Amino acid sequence: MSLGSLVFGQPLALLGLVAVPLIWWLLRATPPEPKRFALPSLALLEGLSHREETPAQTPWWIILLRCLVAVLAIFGFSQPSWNSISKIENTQGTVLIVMDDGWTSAQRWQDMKRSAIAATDEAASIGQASYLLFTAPQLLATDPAEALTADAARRRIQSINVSSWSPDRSSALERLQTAKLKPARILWISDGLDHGSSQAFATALSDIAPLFIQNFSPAGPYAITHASVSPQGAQINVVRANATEPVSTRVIAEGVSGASLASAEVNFKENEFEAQAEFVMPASALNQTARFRIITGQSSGAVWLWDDASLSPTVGLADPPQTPQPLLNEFYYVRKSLEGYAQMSSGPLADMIAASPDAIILGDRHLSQSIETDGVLDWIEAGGALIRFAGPKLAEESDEFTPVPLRRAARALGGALAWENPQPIASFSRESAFNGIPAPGDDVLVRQQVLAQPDPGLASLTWARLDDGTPLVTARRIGRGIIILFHVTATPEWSDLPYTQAFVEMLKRATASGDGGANRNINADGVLTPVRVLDGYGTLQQPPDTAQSIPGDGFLNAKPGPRTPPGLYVGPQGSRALNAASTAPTPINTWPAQATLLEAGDIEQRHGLRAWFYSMALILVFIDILVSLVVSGRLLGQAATKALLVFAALHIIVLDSSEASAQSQQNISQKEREAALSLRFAYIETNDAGLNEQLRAGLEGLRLELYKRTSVEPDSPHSVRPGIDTLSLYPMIYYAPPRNADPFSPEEVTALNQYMRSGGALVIDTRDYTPGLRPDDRLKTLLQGLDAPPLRPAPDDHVLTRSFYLLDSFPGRLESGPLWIESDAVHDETQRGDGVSGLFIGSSDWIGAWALDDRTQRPINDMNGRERRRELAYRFGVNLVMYILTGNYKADQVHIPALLDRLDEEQIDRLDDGPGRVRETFPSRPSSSEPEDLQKFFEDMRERRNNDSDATP
Amino acid sequence: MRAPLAPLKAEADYLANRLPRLTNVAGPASAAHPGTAGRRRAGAGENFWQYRRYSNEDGAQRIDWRRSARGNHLYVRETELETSRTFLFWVDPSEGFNWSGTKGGVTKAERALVISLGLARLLVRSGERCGALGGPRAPSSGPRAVQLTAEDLWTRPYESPFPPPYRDPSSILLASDFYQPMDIWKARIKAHAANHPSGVILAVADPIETTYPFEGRVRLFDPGNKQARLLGRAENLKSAYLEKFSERRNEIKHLAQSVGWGFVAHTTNEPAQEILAQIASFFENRRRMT
Repeated sequence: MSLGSLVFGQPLALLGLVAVPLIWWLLRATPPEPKRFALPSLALLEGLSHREETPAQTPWWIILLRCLVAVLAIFGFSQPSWNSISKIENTQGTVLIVMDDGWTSAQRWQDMKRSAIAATDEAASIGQASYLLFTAPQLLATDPAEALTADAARRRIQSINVSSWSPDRSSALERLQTAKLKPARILWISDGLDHGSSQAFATALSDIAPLFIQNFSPAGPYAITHASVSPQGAQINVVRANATEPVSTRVIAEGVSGASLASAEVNFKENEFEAQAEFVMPASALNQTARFRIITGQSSGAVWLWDDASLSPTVGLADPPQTPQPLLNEFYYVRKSLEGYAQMSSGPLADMIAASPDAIILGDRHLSQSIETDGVLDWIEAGGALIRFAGPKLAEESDEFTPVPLRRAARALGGALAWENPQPIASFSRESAFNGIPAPGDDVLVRQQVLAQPDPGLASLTWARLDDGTPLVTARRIGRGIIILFHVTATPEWSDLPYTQAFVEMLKRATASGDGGANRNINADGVLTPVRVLDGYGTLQQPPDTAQSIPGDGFLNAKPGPRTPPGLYVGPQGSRALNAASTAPTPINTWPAQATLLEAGDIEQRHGLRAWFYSMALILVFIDILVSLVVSGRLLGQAATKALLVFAALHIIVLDSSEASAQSQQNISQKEREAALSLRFAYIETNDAGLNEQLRAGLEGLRLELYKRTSVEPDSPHSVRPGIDTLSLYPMIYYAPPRNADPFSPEEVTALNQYMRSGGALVIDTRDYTPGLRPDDRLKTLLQGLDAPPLRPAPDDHVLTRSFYLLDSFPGRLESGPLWIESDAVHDETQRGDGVSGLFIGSSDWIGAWALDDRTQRPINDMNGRERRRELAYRFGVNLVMYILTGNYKADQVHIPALLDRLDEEQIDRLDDGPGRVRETFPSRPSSSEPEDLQKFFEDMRERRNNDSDATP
Repeated sequence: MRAPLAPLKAEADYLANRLPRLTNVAGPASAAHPGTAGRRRAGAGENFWQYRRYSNEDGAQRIDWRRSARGNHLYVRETELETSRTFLFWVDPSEGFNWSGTKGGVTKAERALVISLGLARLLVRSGERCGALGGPRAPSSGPRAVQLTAEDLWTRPYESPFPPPYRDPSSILLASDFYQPMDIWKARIKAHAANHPSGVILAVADPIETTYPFEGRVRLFDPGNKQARLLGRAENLKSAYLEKFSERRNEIKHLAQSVGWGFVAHTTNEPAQEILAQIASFFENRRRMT
């Protein structure tokens, strides 16, 4: 409903205006009954005239004020908006509204709908019907020739959701032309993307009637057009429609259940429409990935489903030799290496090329003999990776399918007639694609190889070399593909390389560098049925009944549409994804000259007036309050102040809610503030509430003991979740993994690594010490990914044994097991944090011994009568905190006098034992490096002490 | 609704028991009612008062021969005059008097009754006669007198008219709030003063009436005569009301003094003991004062 340019979103609310006379009558009614009091001495008041009687009725202007509040509120409820889309001169006649409702519109669909509704309202305001044409194909397309009233048009526009496939403008145009509609003007609410036929479409439209275009091209990155396996993990191609300024966003890798597995940043440079997200993630994580999603995108194009075919590269083993002995098979080691990583098939080279895998591995053979070399080159240029192994045949005669020209004959190293010894493999250089693979080591030797012709460009083509610098693996890019040559055989004949783990990794990287192009190997037989489909906003759903299966051979050519919505299809060869944005639409740069392009401001001119009405009503209410206060003479009381505050608060909420929320995001959380302002320990929250309570009580108990015994006065402990809370505020984080603990997620691992790297101390207590047993294997799984340096048990003379108390062992509720600390922290090699260990792993359940009940201040757990052990546990806790807080500061300093005393006593004892003992034989307890120096140091100290004691009396 | 009598009477007994026995109670004695209250002068009575020298006017039978035999003169034995005085009580029976500003608090009438009965108790103990002014039963003495007085005072219907003076000269205690127009009170007290030379006016007020704690828009009504008045801003009248209140007190006081009566003002949130002692001492001392 509209009144001129005033449009009401909820016109029914205006019915509330009927109630205004009722409100008037109610307000006019006599004022509230006064309070009644008995007063027998009332007779005394006779004759006293009363000066200020309250009027029996509220003044008319107050009633008016209050009625106005009601009217304003009712208008506010009706969601009015001011519509002034009057830039279009030719506003006469019917209007045809063409809306792009493909997934590309999802991001700005609300704006588009608002704009369309505004246009229909405008048409209705001059008494004209409007027509609607949606460009995305539907199973049941609406008739564009149907004349709609404003209400009907609004209802239809509101009910339409974006489709998960692209608009098909040519078929929409056909529908329009068959409808033979002759509108007075056409408003094309466009997604701003050229889906192949935008020019023709616009021209055809402008032939029918004057064309106005509103461009709602997606803001920011809007679609993932491609995703592929990369050597480090995965590479995602993201596009955007507007390239004016640099933008960065994130792409998330999601598991099947929607959990985020990893995320990577995409940075668009200025004037670039595409950017890549590089995921660095292990293959296991990649295999769990079900889809990639742009974090800011809300459309089916912003989701890239990751199907089985993309999970593992396909590798063709060309011309497998027929050997009765499997171990002598040329591809035995290759198969073993790639097992579980790649889908392998074998057959004649021609068949392999036809299947177009990501990589083809060729044994030792000469290629130029074969007829199919042309096909090979095409396939490589399309993105295939040809991986070749050398051998006697290649050494005999080279061909053009090598990355570098080869010397004839092989170089043999070692042997009776050779000058040189067999060479180990050098570690991989930083530029190499094998960077990061640990070098095989010195015992892996290469005895024979083919040699590359020396060439200035050779170094840049070399991926691996021997210790003496001769290339071992060379590679050359051809087109989108690559040729990789291992200068040794694929069998251990020429080298030990196939035995090594490095070989596996090298092969994986080599296969991953290939990209079989668009032609995935899909079995022609069978059909692929949809199991999950995407809706226009990128959420996965059950496929609708109308969704059809796709025959296997037609899948590659299948386009997302109403019958085949984008989603995951399952067939005999596993799941295949039909992705909405696999054909990336390009932005429309030029619009037809005869069309009028409406600017974004033209649509935005329709302002919501609701907030204005509400705020006017509030102001009037406030005036009413003021007036009431003035009338009753209580303006300066507390009530007025409160009312002012309430009013101000309400006003801020109504008008500045967005600002307020923005501000709160910047604020430091209360927890962080607390942690930053006082020393606190933290524990990692587990899924076990009881354990959490134990942890809290334990740290609380330790806190109290620290308070009693030392000058360390920490505050109550916090519970933290790595990756969510700021860990760096806590000097010590205690972690007790419950029995069924899951390994840390990548985010948690990153956060914990960051924490330890920045000098934090992570104490892990498995609480399961059993004498004679090593720590459980589950610790290994737990620590997976954690940046744990080599660990070793803390030696007897470690600083931990004397940073406050002198301790022999570190018992907790359970007996004292070994306390594992970073091995760097044992020696003086200062790798990080002055050689202070950042990781402590034990199993003695210290937390159980420390735990105190909050109310009674008594220990929660009993120690089976070994209260002494609890005391020792506290002492250990104190020592641990001291060590964490002071580092190795206490290494030699603090307990020297006590140590000396003890040494003195021992000396006396030993002197008593026998006269032959001399001082030099005392055991040197402190751990510092040179014992001679220490002895000297002790002597000095002792002398100084004796001198002091002599001097003082 | 009047409160039960027994607790009030018990309270009155308690108050009276804490005061000393009244002696030398003033007031007009009535010859018609010989009583046991000694008057501290010679007269008809049972207790010995004094021997005095025989004068010619005395009859020979009055000579106390036992005393005269011990000397040369004749002596007459005189006994102490024993008469009883009559005390009459009136507690305002209007509904507005039997009212308390606080819910469950003691009403003005209850407090007036307690004080009256306490005084009656003291008087009866010293042999006087007590009764309700205008009551159905004549004043009586003896242990039952207090109970009878109480019943007569407490069973009087609301708004019964002000009784006429008693036929014999007697002392009187009038307890009311004295909010009726001054002219009415003037007429009543002048009329009684003729026959009741000795009297006390007890003005009892509720704390609400003395403080006027009203604010804002209130409707005040008089529980007695059912009149009501709407005040828009009650606090504006406070000072005027308080002025009126003390003015009325003063007028009543002057009226009492003009007829030679005592005036005692009491507010129900104050203890009753003092006020009883004050009234008792008034009756005791009156003679000495006059």
